[in-house]
Amino acid sequence: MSSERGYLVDPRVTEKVAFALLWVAMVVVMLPMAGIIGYMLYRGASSLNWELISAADGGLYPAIIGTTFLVLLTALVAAPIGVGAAIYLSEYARPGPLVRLVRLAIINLAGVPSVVYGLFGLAAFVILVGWGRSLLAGACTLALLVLPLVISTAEEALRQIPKGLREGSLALGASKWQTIRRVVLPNALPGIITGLILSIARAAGETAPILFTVAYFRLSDPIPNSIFDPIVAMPYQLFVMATEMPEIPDETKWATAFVLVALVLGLNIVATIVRTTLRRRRW
Amino acid sequence: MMKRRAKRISEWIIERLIQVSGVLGIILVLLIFFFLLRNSLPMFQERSLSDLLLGEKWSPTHGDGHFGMLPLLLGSLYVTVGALIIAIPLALAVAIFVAEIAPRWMREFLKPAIELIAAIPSVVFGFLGLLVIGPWIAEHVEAIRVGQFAALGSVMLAFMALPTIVSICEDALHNVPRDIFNSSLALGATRWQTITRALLPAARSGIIAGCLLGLGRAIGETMTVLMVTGNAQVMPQGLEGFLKPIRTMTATIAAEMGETAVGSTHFHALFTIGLFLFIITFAVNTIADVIVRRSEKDIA
Amino acid sequence: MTYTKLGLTVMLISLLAVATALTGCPPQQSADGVIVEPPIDDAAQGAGASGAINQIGSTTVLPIAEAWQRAFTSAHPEIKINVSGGGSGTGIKSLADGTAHIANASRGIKDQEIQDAQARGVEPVEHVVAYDGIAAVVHPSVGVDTLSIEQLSDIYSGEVTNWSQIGGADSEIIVVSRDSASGTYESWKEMVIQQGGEAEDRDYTPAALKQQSNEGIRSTVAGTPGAIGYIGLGYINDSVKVLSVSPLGGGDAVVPSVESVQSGDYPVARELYMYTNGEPTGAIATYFEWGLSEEGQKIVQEAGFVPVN
Repeated sequence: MSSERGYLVDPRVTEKVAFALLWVAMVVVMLPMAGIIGYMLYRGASSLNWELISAADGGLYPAIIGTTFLVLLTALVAAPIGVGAAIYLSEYARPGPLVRLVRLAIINLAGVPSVVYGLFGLAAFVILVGWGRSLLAGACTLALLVLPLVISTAEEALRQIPKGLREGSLALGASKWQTIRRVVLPNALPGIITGLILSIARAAGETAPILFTVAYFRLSDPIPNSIFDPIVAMPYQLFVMATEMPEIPDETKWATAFVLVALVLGLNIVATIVRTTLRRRRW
Repeated sequence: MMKRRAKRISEWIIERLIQVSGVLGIILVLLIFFFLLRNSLPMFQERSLSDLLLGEKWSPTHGDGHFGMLPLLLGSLYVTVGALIIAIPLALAVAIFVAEIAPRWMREFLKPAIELIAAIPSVVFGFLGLLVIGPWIAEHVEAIRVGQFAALGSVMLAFMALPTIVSICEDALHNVPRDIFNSSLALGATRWQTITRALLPAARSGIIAGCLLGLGRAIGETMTVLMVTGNAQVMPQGLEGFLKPIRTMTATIAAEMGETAVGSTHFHALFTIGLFLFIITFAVNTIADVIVRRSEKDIA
Repeated sequence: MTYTKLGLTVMLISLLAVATALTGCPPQQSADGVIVEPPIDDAAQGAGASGAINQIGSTTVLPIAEAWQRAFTSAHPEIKINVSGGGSGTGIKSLADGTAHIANASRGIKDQEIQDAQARGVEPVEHVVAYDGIAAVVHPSVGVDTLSIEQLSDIYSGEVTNWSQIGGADSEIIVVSRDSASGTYESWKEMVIQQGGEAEDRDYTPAALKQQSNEGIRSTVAGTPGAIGYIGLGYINDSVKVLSVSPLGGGDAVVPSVESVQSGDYPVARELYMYTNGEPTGAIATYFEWGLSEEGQKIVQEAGFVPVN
């Protein structure tokens, strides 16, 4: 019968085979990922102990402190600009060539290789502005890198606010900015925060942009006294330990990798939970 | 009165600030381009574009310096093409699986799980490749002598680019009007026939855009390739090149910038590589964007 | 609106954290209630905002700088020292732009770099802090024990590609090198590669595997049959086999060691540097005085390098 229709094989058989192959592909992707991550969590968790985390000398403490300061400053620089841009795109801009160009620019910013951001940070912040290798130079470089992420998540959050809410506020005599500040932004805040958490996670894991702009390896005093101080960052510490430093025990390397991954994935999971909870909310 | 006026002025200022941050994206792209260009111009005064792009020897500190970038371009090309050959079929399969086949509960689980893969820092992938996977391969595979080679970089990049491709392809499949799917089924086609004959063609541009963005991601990736590909600036030879050490453009910048003197020819050469990278990724992303827009228009 | 509250809290905390960073840490209250000023005294003049000495540069010098930092700051807790790698170039760059007070380098400063520094009002002064012998190491299974400078040059320039060509078993030579432009990379090129062969401008074979560090070379050589690499004396351990090297034009092969480097018999040795802006004063002078004393130099030797006196 199948040959009558011009098929060599019954389409239902083809379908079975194809679907089986898709399952195989799924396994091929997920299994090694799960295996690798599992192995790393295992090695990391078994190497991890409080002493290693808290040791200021040769432990994780300076990197944890440094990365915390770095990502917070990054978020602080990126948040106002990113949210401002999102407000512009969702509330003020009228469709046209300018908006089209802004969107194209943002897409391209998202696609610029991270090492190119590092070059830009070196040329602009470290050398030209003269901040040197410092917390500020690194945070500004990372802020540019996460900006597209902040903008797109914030814009999405703003667009989910129903039009009626805005119109209601305007009808009551509020100005456009009053409406945005009192009605739109508070309601969009959870979505904006989600985006910021994702950006912090991204900034925490990036190495290439901070190679030439901020990172140190060993500090007498890991807590920066000003934004012009150097810091130790976790991904840089992992990179240096893996490629440059002799005699560092494997446990320290695995523990650093573990804490870094736990931090980044943890932040992502928090963001995902916040976002899915939000989606359930109905207007 | 005064108070209201002050308020109006502050509102005016705020709204202008918002407009400025709105167009800041454009300014930033231009600024990045300008800084790269400014720092690579001295290079073009010393060497011609064809010397740079077609020169086969990269040895920046030797004599007057050899700045042939062809080995680096080819290195990036090898690693990236290798990554896409692995990633695209797998990503398409996963996207189809997630969009059309997976039961609902699994879909709810898989989407975030795949996004999480994208979140793992690249230095961690490099660390695993350098300390665990590379040495293991060198020990167990006869043909590979050293655990740092192009194909290892490709495999790792494939996994890193996968989530990007999957999520865009999945969106594209999802955006195809259900009518197409249902009418195909109603005509007696199997689900697989519907997927291959109706759904995939309809989602074509989205899929191409996803692959392009994956390409952009792979070509710009730095830390992983720096750590696992061995960084030998050879001209890769044929298919065997995949099993040999190789050096990419991104790795060259990351590895050498720390050793150069500011303002030296070498310094400008590294910015020139950065400029080329910027141009390549700019082109790839813009094309991808144009394709996405067009497909959105088609559907609408 | 619990989300709003949560969000505001997060914002507030980050704001506070950064505000603290901006204004500088408040003076610390000691146990007896006396406010202790951060340790900025005249001695630390020229040091950073926090009163710390920033030291950046060569990864080869890193172990010395790191060991010095530990020992020195435990003896002088009032002086803070920050240490980072990044490469000789990064170090000198940072000295010139004022972010570093000491630049570590495994190569001499270049004319271009001196000009750059002077243009910014920085006068680099050189201090030789240690000697370093660079040892040729091979995978333990390689049957060769001794090579001449000429043979090493042939291997590294790609003229010789199989161990059988120089008296070993028939096996491809895997050449491992430091990353291009590192100080060690250049030293090896000048002291070994360019000494052999006819051509003056002999260069590395592009096929050489590049590693970011001595340790990277060592672990790659140890894990790869047929591999050869070069590492600083301090990085030698049992995982690799150290070759004796015979000097240019013949002569007895010399095993690299502290003694043979100090006596000048071992042919592949060099100086390691730290650069300061002008002659050091205050805390930095104290640091160098200590580093070049017997105590500091003992640490140099413990780190596997060769003391200067």
